[in-house]
Amino acid sequence: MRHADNSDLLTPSLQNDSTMAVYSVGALIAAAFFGGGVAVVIMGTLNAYRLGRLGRDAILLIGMLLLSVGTLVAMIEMTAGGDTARTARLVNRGLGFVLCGALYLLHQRAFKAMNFLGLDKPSPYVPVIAAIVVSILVTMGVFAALEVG
Amino acid sequence: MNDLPDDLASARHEIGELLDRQRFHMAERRLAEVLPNFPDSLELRYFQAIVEWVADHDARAVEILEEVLADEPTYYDARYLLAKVKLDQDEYRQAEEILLGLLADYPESPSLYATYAEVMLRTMHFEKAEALAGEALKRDPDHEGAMNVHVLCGFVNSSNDEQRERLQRLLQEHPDQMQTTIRLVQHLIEQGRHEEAYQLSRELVLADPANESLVELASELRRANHWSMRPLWPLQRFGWAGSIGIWFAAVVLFRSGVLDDTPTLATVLVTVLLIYVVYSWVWPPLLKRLLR
Amino acid sequence: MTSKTDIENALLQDPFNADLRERYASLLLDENDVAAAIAQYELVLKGDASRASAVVGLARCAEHSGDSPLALDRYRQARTMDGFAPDDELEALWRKAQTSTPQLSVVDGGNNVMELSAAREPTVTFADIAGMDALKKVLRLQIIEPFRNPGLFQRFRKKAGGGVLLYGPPGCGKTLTARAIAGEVSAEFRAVGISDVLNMWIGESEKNLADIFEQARARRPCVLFFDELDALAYSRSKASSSAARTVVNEFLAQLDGFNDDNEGVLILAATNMPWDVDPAMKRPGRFSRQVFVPPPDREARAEMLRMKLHDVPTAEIDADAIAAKTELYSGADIDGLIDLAKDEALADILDSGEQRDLTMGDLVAALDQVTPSTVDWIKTARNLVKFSGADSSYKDVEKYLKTVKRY
Repeated sequence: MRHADNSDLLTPSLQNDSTMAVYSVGALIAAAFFGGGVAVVIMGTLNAYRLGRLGRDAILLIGMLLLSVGTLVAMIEMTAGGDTARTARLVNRGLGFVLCGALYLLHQRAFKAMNFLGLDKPSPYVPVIAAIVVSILVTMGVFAALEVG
Repeated sequence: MNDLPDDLASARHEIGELLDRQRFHMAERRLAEVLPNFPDSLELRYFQAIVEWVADHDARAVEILEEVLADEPTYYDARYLLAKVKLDQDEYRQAEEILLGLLADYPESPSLYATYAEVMLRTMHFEKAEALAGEALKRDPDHEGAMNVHVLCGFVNSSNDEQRERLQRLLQEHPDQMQTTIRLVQHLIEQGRHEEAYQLSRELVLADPANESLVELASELRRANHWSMRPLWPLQRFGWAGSIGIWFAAVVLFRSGVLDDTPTLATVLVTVLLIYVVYSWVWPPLLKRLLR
Repeated sequence: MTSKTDIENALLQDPFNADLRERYASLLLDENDVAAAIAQYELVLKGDASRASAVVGLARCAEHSGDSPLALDRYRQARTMDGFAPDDELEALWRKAQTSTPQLSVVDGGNNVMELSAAREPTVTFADIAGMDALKKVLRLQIIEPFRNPGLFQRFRKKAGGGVLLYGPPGCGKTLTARAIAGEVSAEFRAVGISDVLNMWIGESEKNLADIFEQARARRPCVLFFDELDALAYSRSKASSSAARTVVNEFLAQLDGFNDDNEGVLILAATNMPWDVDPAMKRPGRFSRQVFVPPPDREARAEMLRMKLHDVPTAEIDADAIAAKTELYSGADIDGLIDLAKDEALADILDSGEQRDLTMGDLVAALDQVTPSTVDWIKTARNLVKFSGADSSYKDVEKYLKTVKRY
């Protein structure tokens, strides 16, 4: 018995051998803890790129970046005169965790596939450290800009 | 008629049976005896490729299979094995190419659809993997390999109810197959039911104690079920969400000002929290070493 | 009434609930899905081999598929178990079988009956096996005396039927032990290897198996020895081909049938991989008695060294000292060690041109070059004991592992 046409399933989907495994949830959490929202957005962008869905996720990622920077600015403005740096760091970290959750939901099939199939995860050290450094630089930039302002 | 073909048929039969029973060393010994007499036998060379593949000599297996396919390009078993070796070598594009070639020649084979679905799952093409697993089951609803990949797709793509439904069918149709038990263990781990997962993983080790990945799984679960891991239950059950929850609770507690009047209590709580964090960090890997 | 789906859902929540699984199996049997019911009952027995109700369930399955002899056999087995509750239909069958007269059956030898290879080597007894006193004691109690003296064991209500499975690392003398058991009970030793069964006539493995049992009956007293049982009775849940499963089914049927008429025939089997043997093989009446054959103990190794160096020109050799350093060595490893030591001595003689005997130094030097071949097996057995919570059948291995220094 022949089955319904499935010719679209029988066309090649792979251009290269890469599995494009994503950076783990642990890497995202580390970025959130030490780097806050901006670092998480960077890690999320890298994962979207590895999954070949950067175009699809671009608007959301830009929104997350604006939210991170915007929250930082708002916190600095709101806590002016008080313990600004500490509060901003806490809120930034909290936001980072929230964004982690959002990115987990966005890419959860990839995370689950890696778990169930036991695929090797890429080493997260370099990208996580880079994301944290960029995030710190952005934070310092925002502080400097607001003080100058 | 001379008796050589009988010898060949009998050797092929015996080696095939040995391979089916995973007696690879015995099969290797028999192959070493009979291959010099029948160097042109495609089936014996194919068996030799299996033996090399199982011994993790993937490059040698590929070499033999390519030679076999140079002599007989349409040899189904050799092509299928080559695709599987390529999959093992993470050469997904080549595995896909071979599988598509096979599917063009054998469009009704559920095994081919199932294997292709696995390639797609490994390369994060989730919708296609799901559709291919569905195609495999359409052709043979009870095919064990197809059901297995379907369950895997369910773990990744579907809701909890659908996952359970797929797993349930696998349990009904192939309750005593090891792959079924492995899927059930994965399901239980996903549900945070480590104790039951550990019981089942012990069954797996009992059935195949030489399989290091199963031993590792059982060892991990044994650690997770150890009494000294009880305090870490929130972290084990909820993973990273548990860690974040504890961090969040601590921040709220210490920043809310409720402990401002009781500095001693605050100090004690900070100390307990720090000990807990260090314990959760240091103890699990240490315990793993101790238990192994 | 609980529906099948309800039970399936409940089983998913509680996969270890044996009562529930039995109800499920019974439901499947009522729906005529005998194969699925058998699989469920087998699962129950895998968790608890002493559940009489599951054995009754299997008997019902056999009766359902029209295999009354097998049904009777299983029911008979269930009746001896604790917690047995009679089943009306099977009880009637049982009573009928008890009152009917034994039937004669005609055995058709056929044209392709496989001739078993009789052991042509001189008789071996325990005296020929160096050391291993603990093992010999176990074998005497569990195999030899029940075979020689069934009345005594019956008086103590000690079951003596069924085969005995010898298991342990490769090259540690399981076959020699089986041969020695035959020598001890003064029976003919008949060895069956996997090739004998699988290779005689393509597609007739099952028939070969039946012939083998038939021949053993004709040659009592006889020890029928199945070498590499793991390959012959490979776990059906792991085998992918139906042929392998068919051979196991036939083997089980033969063993079950054999129990009715096994006087004078002792069935032994050996395996390096007991975990690969189909679990059904280890049920009562089949190979329920399992004996661990460990690597040679220190005394045995020392004795082996003395025996193997007997004809070799040697200087003063302290066999006990070498034995102390060869923990986990199999007999084959000891051979390898001696060969390497000989190579050392010969190379030295050729280099120096001076004649000399094999010395302690040659053996010590060879020690560095030999890794015991049993190590992989020991590691696997360790996994089994440590992580599988293996049942009591592996208690001997557990005990042995505690005595092995390097693990």
